Order: sequence, then structure tokens, then C-alpha cells
Amino acid sequence: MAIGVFAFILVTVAAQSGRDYIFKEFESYGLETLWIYRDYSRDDPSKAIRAGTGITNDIYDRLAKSCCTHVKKFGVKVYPEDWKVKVRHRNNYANTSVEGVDVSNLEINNETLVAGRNFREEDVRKKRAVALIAPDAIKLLFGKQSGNVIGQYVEVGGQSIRIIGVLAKKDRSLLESLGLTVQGYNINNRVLLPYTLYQQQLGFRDIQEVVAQATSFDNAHTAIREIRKFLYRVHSDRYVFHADSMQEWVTTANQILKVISLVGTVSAIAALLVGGVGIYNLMRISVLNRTNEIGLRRAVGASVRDIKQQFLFEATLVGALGGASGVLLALAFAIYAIVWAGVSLGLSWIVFVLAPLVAMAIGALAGYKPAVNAANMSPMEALRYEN
Amino acid sequence: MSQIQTILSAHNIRKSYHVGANLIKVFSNLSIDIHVGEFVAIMGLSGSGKSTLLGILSSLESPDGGEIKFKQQNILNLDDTQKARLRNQQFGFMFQSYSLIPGLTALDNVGLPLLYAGQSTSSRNKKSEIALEIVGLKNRLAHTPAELSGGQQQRVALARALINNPDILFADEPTGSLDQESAMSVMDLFCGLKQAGRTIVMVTHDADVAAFADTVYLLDSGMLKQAK
Repeated sequence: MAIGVFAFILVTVAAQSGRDYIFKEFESYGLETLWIYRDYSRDDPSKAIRAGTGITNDIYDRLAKSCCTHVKKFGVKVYPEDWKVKVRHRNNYANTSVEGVDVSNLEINNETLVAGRNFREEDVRKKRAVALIAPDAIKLLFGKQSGNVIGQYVEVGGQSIRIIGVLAKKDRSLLESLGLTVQGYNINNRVLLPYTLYQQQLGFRDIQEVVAQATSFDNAHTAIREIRKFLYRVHSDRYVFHADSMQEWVTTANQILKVISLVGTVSAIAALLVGGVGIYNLMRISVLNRTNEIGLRRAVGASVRDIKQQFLFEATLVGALGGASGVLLALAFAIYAIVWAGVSLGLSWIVFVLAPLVAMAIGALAGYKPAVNAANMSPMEALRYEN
Repeated sequence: MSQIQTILSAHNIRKSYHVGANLIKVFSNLSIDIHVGEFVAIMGLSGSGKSTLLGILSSLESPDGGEIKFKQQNILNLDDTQKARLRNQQFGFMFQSYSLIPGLTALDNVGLPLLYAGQSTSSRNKKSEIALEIVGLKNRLAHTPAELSGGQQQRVALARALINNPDILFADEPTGSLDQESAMSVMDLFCGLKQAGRTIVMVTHDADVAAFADTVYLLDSGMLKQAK
């Protein structure tokens, strides 16, 4: 029973911790985030193939101004085909991901700054040579002197750019280990520029991706429909656009977690049932060994109900003790995991209360038949019984 | 003795057992009257049905037919809870081979009937202590049965049997597993109870023990014959 309860708690805590861990990383993208970009693979060969991404600055402005009741904010992403760009600071070089973004991108992608400031509208409008930089890029470019880099300059595409903000580090270890990020792409090795500046550097007139923030997580699909509808109307269906949202990732993650939880729960239930069978056997043997005692108790005034209650109570107590042992084991494991292994666990007191209650209920169920057998014994036969 | 003094009566009691396909008749049309303050001994050979009769008279076992009246009330009509209350409040029991619950102390064993009578722990302990003092075991309150001699165990059992001040004491071979000295010590206590007006129904195979009784019945081939 103790093992069953331990397994039950472990599965629940593991599922919750896994969910917390995964969602923490998902939140690093922003749970309401959407990405819309041209889907080149689905161009209709019967129609004339158009050049560009299908999203110009003008279209982006119109999107931002007049589209979509289910979108809170629009942003952009501009990047070259080979997204690894050589960035230099004095004699240090780094192959870094350089992205052209709008003022709103930080908020949409749930990004924060640890130093400096975000882009302003005028930085974008006037194509100012300013940049935000991520921590790994700072290490590569500034080495040991990576204390305060605000106001320092880096060279991107032959142009000297002043650093105005430092991005906070993002944890993507789980998603990377699951292969859910672009190979070689390190979110902490980035330099962000105003998209207008980067377009100028790259000689682009287009935007590669529209990034948007839906009004809520549940509205993501509606927001995508609205944006696509807008884009198809603008282009009279001459481009095909693909859209991704965090909602799909979250749904997939939830499905995986559900399967893991289900397998774990079934195992835990099996362990609890084995515990129940153990209690049943224990109580059956106990009733047999205490047959004379049952007869004696009946003789001195115990009713059928008294005997049934006594053995039911004992079975429930055995279940409760098993449950308590399981809780102690789980607590010891949790303390070890948190204090010594440094793992953050999704602990819920409900599980620690529920598990012993379930164990008690299983104990009572398992003890019911032996208790009824004990209660229904003839007092004289019970007194005559020889072990 | 007059009819009014009869405390327990059994009339036309029938009892049989199935052993495999065979029906074994223990007794048919057996009758007995037990009077207030009477010390009755029922003797018989092993397997004659002495203990079965004691069980039927004390409501521990049901007969196949007949009538058993305790204080003019037919106890065969009582439900399980009423029978349990009757055994708890009106009857006391002593058995030969299994007198006490091994895991309980002498004090707790004696207090068992009070537990089923719904009395509090403090009340149970207080009364049990007095009962154990009466049987000379005040210094053995916390001892478990394994720490007591056979004679001491039977005295604890007697204290338990009397704790609720029952009308009748049923004793099934109370001296069966005791040495001569302990057996006589228990019988001395029985004589004291008899003198105090307690009704005793005792089953024994020992003629020396039966000699202490007012009335001795012999159970033989399902028939009950008065021998004294």
C-alpha cells in the first residue's frame, strides 16, 4: 500500500512538475504568440509565382492599424536566408542570429531586459543603428569584459551598432532536448535590430514573418483566421500563408503529458490494487487467526455490527498506515529532489491529503469481505474453532 | 420451587448437525428449568452435546426447534442486536480453552463487556480494577494472559463474567485446563457466588467439580436426566 501511495504521489507530482517545466519554457515564447509567414511549399503552380514574402512594410502597417479584433499586438521578424550572421566587437567575432524586430516584439515574445532599454518608435522609423543583445552573444563578443555593455558598439554587416539593451537569458533546454527548436539556433545568442535598419542592410523590402499576440490563448486560432483572411484579401489569394501558434504546441504537450500521466496513473492504481489485495489477505488471515476472539467478543456482548465495524476499522487503519508511509516516502523523495538534486517540483498538498484517503478507502474496501465473514460467524462455532 | 422462581427454561429443544451427508441428532425434545439462585451442573461424556446445550441456553447458538424463555421472554424471537445486549447485560461467560484475548491486558479483558455496553474508558477501568481486586488479582492489572497462570487467567475470566452483574453465569468446563488446586480455588469462588444468590449453569465432565452444584444433570444420548 505504501508503494502504491508513493507511486500515486510520484506520478501526480511528476505530471505536475513536467507540466510546469514545459509551460515555463512555452511561456518564454509567449503563450498567445502567433507566427505568420509565406508558405513557399504550397504555391499554386497554376498561378504566376510571385516574388517576395507577400508581407511588405505597407501591408504590415495596415495589418497593425486595421486588422483583427482577436489580436492584441503585431510585430515583425526580418532575417536573412542564412540566419547565422558574423558580428564583430573589436577582434572578437561571433556567428550570431541577427533579427530585425519592431518595438512590440519584446512584449509579444515575453522577453525582458536586464539592462538598458527597448527600441522606441523613432528608432524604428529613423532606422537608428541601435541593438538589443542576448547574454551568450555578449560572452562571445565581449569575453571577460561583459559587465556593462550598454553604450558599447558591435559591427553588423559592416555597420557600427550601439547596444542599448541586454536581453534576459531564456531557458530552452527542454525544448532543445526534445528537438523542438531549430537546429543550431540559440535563443541566447542573438542580436536584435530595428527591422527597418536591418531591411536596409539586407536590401529587403519585405518582412519574413509577422509575429502577433492574440487577445487570449483560446483566441489564437480565431486570430490566425483573421490575419490570413486579411492577407488573402490583400493579395487576392496569390500567396499561401502558413501560421503557427503556441496553442498547437501546448495541445501537443498536453496530449503527451496526458499519455505519460495515464501510464503512470495506471501503474499507480495497479500498485494500489496490489496493496488492496495485500490488505484483503492480511485481514482474511487475521480473521482466521482470531476466530476464537470473535466468538468471545460475541459472547460478551458484541453484535454482528460491532464485529464488522471492528474489522473494517482495522483494515482502514492498515490502509491509512500504508498511505501515511507512502506519503512519508514521497515527502522524503521530494525533499531529496528539491534540496539535494535542485529539482523544482509541482507539489500540491491536495495529493498528499488525497493519497492517504484513497489508501484508507482501498483498505476499507479490501477489508469489507473479511469483516463481513467475521461478523457472520456463529459465536459457538467461532469459540469451538481450533487454530 | 415455584414457577415464579424459574429464570431460564428450555422446552422441547431439538438440535442436529449435518456431518457430510449424515444428519447427527444431538438432542430432541430436551427440556430443563433453571431457577433463580440455583447452581446447575450439566455432565456428560465428550461429544454428548453439553457445550451445545450451554450455547443454546445462553443464545450463542440457535436450536432447530423448541422454546427458550429467559424471565418469561422467548429469547429465540430476539434479533442479533437484542441477543447481543442480552448476553452483555444478563449473562456472564467462562470458557475452558479460550478465556481471554491474548493481546489485551487483564484490565482490558475484564472491561470488554463494559466496552460493548458503551461505557467510557475511565468507567471501564475503574470497574475492572474493582472486579480484579475481588478475584485477588489487583496486582496483575497490566499483565497480558501470557504473563498469567491458568488459574489466574480463569479468575480474570470470572471477573469479566461478573463485571456487568449478570443474572446467570454460564461456565463451560471452567476448571478443565486447571490443576486440582487452581480448580478448587475457582470452585470456591463459584460457591461464594452461589451463596450470594447468583444463578450458575456449568458444564463439566468432572464429578468432583459437579459435586459443588445444587442440581446435577447428566446428558446422555440426547436425553437430560437429573442425577442430583
